[in-house]
Amino acid sequence: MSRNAIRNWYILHKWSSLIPTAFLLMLCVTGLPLVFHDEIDAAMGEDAEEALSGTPSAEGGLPLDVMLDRALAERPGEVPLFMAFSQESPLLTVTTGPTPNAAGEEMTLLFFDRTTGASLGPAPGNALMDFLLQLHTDIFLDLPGMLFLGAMGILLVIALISGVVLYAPFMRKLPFGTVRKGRSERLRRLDEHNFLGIVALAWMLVIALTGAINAFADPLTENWRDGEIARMTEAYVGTPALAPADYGSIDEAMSAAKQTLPGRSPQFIGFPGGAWSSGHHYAIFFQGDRPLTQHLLTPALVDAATGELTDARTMPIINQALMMSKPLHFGDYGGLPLKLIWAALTLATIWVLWTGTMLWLRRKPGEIERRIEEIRTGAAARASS
Amino acid sequence: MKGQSRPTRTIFTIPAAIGASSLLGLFLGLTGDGLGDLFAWLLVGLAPFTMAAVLLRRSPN
Repeated sequence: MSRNAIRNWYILHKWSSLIPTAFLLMLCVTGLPLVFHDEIDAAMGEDAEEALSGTPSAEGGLPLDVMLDRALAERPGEVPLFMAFSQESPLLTVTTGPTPNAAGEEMTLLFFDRTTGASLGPAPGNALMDFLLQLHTDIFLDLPGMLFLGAMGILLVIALISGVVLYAPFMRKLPFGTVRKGRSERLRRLDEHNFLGIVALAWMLVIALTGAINAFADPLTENWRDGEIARMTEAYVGTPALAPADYGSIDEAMSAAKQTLPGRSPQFIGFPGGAWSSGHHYAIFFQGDRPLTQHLLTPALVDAATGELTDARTMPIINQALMMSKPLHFGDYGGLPLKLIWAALTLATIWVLWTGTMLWLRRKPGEIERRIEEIRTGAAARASS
Repeated sequence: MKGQSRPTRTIFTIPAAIGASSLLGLFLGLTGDGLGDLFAWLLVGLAPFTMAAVLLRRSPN
């Protein structure tokens, strides 16, 4: 690679990392406890699901209409927004709000046991975890904050790619895993930066890309509702949205949907007028029936007044990618060992960011040529390990 | 190895193997429980294992 090419990639690597570094460090530090949210909730006695046993709420239990009535009795004057099922326990959650299109902060999440019908009260909140999650998601700036962090994720992808390009000339004369500890602090940092960066590369790419996709979740969902859902419900154009008093039986809607999608397990229901449905439908989201497709949801739109199925279509590719992005980003799908691996790789990422920042901070000013030479020669190689 | 230039392909052999192992592990963990999870731990775990092995070894320097 020519000096000129190295110079250009070096400059790209420098700026695409320097700009997002502070935010990426924040994301790593807040993400670390979030990976363990189940364990932390359980340790604080707030894991409602742990204590329940019986048929999973996605498979059976008391009628859904009975469960909804109980939820609405707890929140008089409010309307249902979502009902969500568990594939593992009888836990059933109902979200209510003052209006069908209520904003997130106006919603109330209620927990129920679908086997006994018992109310488990409002979802237990954990102020610290909620704070960390919001900081991690949107730095308390709602959509602009999400999009900003998404842009930081895209910069990270550019930093990773340019880093790989620079890895080649640097390692030309060095064996894999070279970390020279005895020569200078700068050299040790440089070697650790390159080694940890290249080893964690695939994982960091996946986390950066899925994080960036998640950052665009709201506009992507809106786009799906205004496009695909609107096309599926064309016959309803011009009719006013269904009033909550006229909502029909959810159990009938569920059985109509299951006739079209037999053998599928429901994950959640979006009620009419919300972000996940039309103004007239129960949108019942079913999981795929094979392991490969279990994270891909198919919505069945059922007329909320008559209980008749209108249409069921798989979601567009970009929205399916969004569905897959969530578990891939959170790392909470493979038990505690995978979470520990997630934590180790997060710590490695923090170290890559930190050594990168220190390499920049402790540089001698105005010596870009020296750093290009450093990359070109592997810091004058002499590999000893 | 000292003093000799390595071709780009050789430089990236081990990193590419670790990267492929990570991606395959993430995929298997996502699509299967039980055995899928076990393979996910081993395959994704290769990256942190390599880090520990290299950083904790005694360096002659």
